[in-house]
Amino acid sequence: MMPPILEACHLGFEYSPARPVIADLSLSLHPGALCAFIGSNGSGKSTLIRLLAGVLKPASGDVLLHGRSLAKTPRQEAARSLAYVPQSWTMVFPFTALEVVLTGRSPHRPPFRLENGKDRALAMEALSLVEASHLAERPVTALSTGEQQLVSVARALAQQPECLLLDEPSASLDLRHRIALMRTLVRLRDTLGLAICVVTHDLHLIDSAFDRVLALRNGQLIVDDRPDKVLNDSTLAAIYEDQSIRTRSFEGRTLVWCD
Amino acid sequence: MVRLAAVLLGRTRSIGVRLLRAMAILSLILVVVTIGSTCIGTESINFSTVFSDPTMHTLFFELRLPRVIMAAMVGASLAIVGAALQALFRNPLADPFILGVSGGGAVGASIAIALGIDKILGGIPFLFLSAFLGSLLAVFLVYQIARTGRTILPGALLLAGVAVNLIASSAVITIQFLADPNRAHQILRWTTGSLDVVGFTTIRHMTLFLVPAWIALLMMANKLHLLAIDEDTAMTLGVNVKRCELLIHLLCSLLVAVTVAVGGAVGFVGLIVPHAIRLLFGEDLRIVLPGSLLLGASFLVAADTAARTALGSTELPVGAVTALLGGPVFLFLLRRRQRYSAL
Repeated sequence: MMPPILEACHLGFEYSPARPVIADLSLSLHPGALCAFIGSNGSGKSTLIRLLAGVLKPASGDVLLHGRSLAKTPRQEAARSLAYVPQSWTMVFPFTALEVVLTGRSPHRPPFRLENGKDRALAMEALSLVEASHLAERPVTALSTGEQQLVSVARALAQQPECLLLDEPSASLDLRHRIALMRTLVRLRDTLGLAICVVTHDLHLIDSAFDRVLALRNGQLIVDDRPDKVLNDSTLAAIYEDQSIRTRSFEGRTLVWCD
Repeated sequence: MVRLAAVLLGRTRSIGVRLLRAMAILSLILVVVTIGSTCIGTESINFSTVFSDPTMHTLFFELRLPRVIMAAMVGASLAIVGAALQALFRNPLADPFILGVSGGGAVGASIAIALGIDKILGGIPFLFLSAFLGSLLAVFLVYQIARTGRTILPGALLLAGVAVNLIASSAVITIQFLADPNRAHQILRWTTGSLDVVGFTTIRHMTLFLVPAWIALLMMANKLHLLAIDEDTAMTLGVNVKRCELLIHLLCSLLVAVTVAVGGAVGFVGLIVPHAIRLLFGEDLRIVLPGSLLLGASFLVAADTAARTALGSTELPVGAVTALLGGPVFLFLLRRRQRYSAL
């Protein structure tokens, strides 16, 4: 088996003292794996992905990128392997979508060099991967939340990372773009061998395409298994602490609902 | 109208082309405005005799030219600081005057004057140092108040700036009362901003601080570009946000402090100029920063020329001119901003 790209070792984090959000959590992400992080609100999913992305600094333990502490890796170098899509962002200035996507190229440029035609081509390609080419020249402040999310994902793709961390990328997307996004993620995994983590509440998104489902409860990893082993009544009941969750397999897909 | 200008100036071309075009246009404007302003004044200058006639020589080389150069340097500094702070705080209403950075500098400068310390410590006028500490204190205070975890609250930032400004102007008035009457008069000019200068000594001192700070800020253009879009994303794109913030605070405080020490608190240049650049050339900080530098210089040279000529022989403080122009722009932007997000 290939060595992991990203590892969490005994990770701990708290926003206020004595109230841990993540407690002694370890996991490793390998190339070519599409993983989903699920769990109820406040279970620590977003915090975990922000720790993995290096946006937050762990209070204890460490995040390793290629076996080396992320905090000690030069940021520019880390940015060439690791891309993060935040849950939401507040746009203040009317940058065009293409300008935003082009920022994804900045870790690959030497300092004080402007983008060239190749960067622009890669940025346009990233936009077309999420079916958002038509947004290129639009100001991001005028886009809907879903469209902004697509631009954000395209920016991360333009970064050409080895590991992609997405925090609820599908939350505001319509069905067509949700499917397009999933198709793109699967293709990136299959063709380029990316390690991809998706935080999601959308259990229907987790179909056979996913390799692993990791479930969090109170900042701890309680389940780490194949989707078909996780998406069943008893496991989901344990994850969400609700006995009324029902599932049914239907032509290879899993439907989830509440009684 | 704005859209037409944007199309004519070609917003969609590659960044390199757009940067060159913006620099060419703005340099041309600066040259024209500078030459025009050295010719305009209450005393007309006969350029054929500037070298032969000693009165003309003094008028041109000791008064007119230094003043125009000083206005250009102060304007350039304030505008680039405005552009940098707007990007760093992701707040289109940020301006060194509005955020109290100029006010802090004025307090520092007033203390130095009141104490009568006109020493030069290792080449650095004590006035600059004292103003720098005042500006730095103001920017840290305002920032710390507005910062709550992951976001810098836009409304809190501006309100903190208002409060710091009120405290600063009261402090300056108090210092004036306590100081010896001669020095009190000297302090008075710091409150409104005036650019009268004699000879090149002050300009040499300014150059020593301003030019390196401009270069340092311009070198951070790419990082500011990423920060203006989103802080978390900037972090994952390789920007050390904490270090960047600290550096920009230091550089902006230095720039504002030096301008306040020589010319007093000139307001709204840092607000109007970056907005004009954005409307004309787009949002890219790698154009907005150098563009603001050039247009800021042109703007203050023009405003100062208006200030010293509009009322005939009596001179208007240039700070009054910029505030009369900039105040309404601020209100207009505030109104427009409310439609997008609540302060």
